[in-house]
Amino acid sequence: MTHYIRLDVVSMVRSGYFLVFSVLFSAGFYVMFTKLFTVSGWTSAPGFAATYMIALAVSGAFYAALTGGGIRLGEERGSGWARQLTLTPLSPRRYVLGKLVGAWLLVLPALAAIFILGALLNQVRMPPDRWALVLAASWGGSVCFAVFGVAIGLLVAGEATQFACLGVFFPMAILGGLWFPTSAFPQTVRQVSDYLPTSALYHLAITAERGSGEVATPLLVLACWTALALVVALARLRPEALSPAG
Amino acid sequence: MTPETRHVSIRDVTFSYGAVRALAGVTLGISAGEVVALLGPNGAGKSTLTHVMLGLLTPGIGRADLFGMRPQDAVARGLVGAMLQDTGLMRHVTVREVVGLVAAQYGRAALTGGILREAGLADLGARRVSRLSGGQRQRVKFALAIAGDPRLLFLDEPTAALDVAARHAFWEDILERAGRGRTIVFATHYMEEAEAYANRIVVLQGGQIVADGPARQIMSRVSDVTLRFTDPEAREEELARLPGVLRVKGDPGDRWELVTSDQDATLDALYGASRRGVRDLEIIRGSLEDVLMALAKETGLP
Repeated sequence: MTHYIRLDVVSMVRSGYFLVFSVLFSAGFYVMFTKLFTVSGWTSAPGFAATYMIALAVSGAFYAALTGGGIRLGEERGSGWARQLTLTPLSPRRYVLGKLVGAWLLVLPALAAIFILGALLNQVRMPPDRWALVLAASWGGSVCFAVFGVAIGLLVAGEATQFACLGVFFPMAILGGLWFPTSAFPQTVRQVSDYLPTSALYHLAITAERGSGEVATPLLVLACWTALALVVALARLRPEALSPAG
Repeated sequence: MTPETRHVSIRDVTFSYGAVRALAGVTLGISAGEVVALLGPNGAGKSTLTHVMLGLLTPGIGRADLFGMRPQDAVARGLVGAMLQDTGLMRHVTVREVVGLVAAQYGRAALTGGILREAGLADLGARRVSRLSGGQRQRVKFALAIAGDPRLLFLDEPTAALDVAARHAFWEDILERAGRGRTIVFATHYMEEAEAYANRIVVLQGGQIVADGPARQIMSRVSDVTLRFTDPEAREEELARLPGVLRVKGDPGDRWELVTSDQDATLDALYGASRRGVRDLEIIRGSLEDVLMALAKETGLP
């Protein structure tokens, strides 16, 4: 299975499409709001370079996990490649598990790229152990996104998966406050926002960066979303699920 | 027959897609070293039967076993290789990478070079899969099916998109495998390939097996033969009275066409009674295709 995960990850990175949305998109936002534009009450807040770096790293991680898990899985189910590969000793369960692990691994370069950008462009400074904690929190919590991606990839097949993933990504990233501050949203939306996995992971990583803050609530939110996605994925993982018509 | 030599065992399998019955009570056993062609018109149940054999579909009634175990278990043990239609390939990888990936699942990654050679891909290993022609893609799919040197190989329309030379090389490889006791099951629309390379032909119609045996035996089921000859003196009424003759057709050029159910009796009478100039005699046996058409008429199944 390691051979399969390795080639899957390598081919995803080669595809370019993955890098554009998971790294360049976040990097573009980061440069825009830390270097080019100033929005009073938001970009001028103390420590903005670091908090916005974390928000956009989570956004990139979310997209990387959705592409690696969801888009790839949906495409391969639609094209028949999933069926071909599981007519070998690689079982359907391990095939899907491999997609999950692959999606999770793809999160790492997306996180690392934005963290490096933060350090180089805006001199975001933390002690090494704090950096490690931020990375561990954001990467660890991204398991939720990877399961999410796999669930979408099992629900939708073919080209529709791309739209399904984007349809999940944009609202969750924006409502989760990863791109713009939630203070701009109406009160009701802000209340919902706290219960989104994107917002939960952001808060968890911010807690890691500051060394104190909420831990239990975001962890619980992430766990609930992970469980939900896992239930959906397992319900969809029937023997015929990997055939093009299934 | 012992279970070990029985590579495929299908018993009373019925499968329906909703209200549409795709297989109706199919029973089929296939043994080591057999090369079996699955024939039948579109919608006859060939794909459904193949999917049941591979464990991709679970029959509502009946049972399918490979090597005496559930198809999924035989697949998991690396005993099976398959080349199905509508199979996409992995993206953003080279031919060598994708074949190597599948070989690795069978624990044969180190043999990738040899697998590429067997499939006629030795020069294409470094090529991106997205840059292959139709025939080259077909060869990659074949390489994936044989990557594990499986004891049982399923091939659906394996020679589609292959040119004559590639097709020839392909069948040589298949016969070599059968010679080593590998079992081959293939579906095709090329009747001449079934006739030439299969030692057993299974004809499906309307979800049922309507004929099963060597090509020659199946063709003998429809024994009508067409005799064509030139004879300026023959008369239609006279020819129609010859033993065995079913139909007579003449044309202004004195060229006659007799359809007979008893070729020997008709020829004896034609030459014995006649004195004269039967020339340019052609004996036309029904092709496998004619036989299938005749079977379809006989059974009245789609």
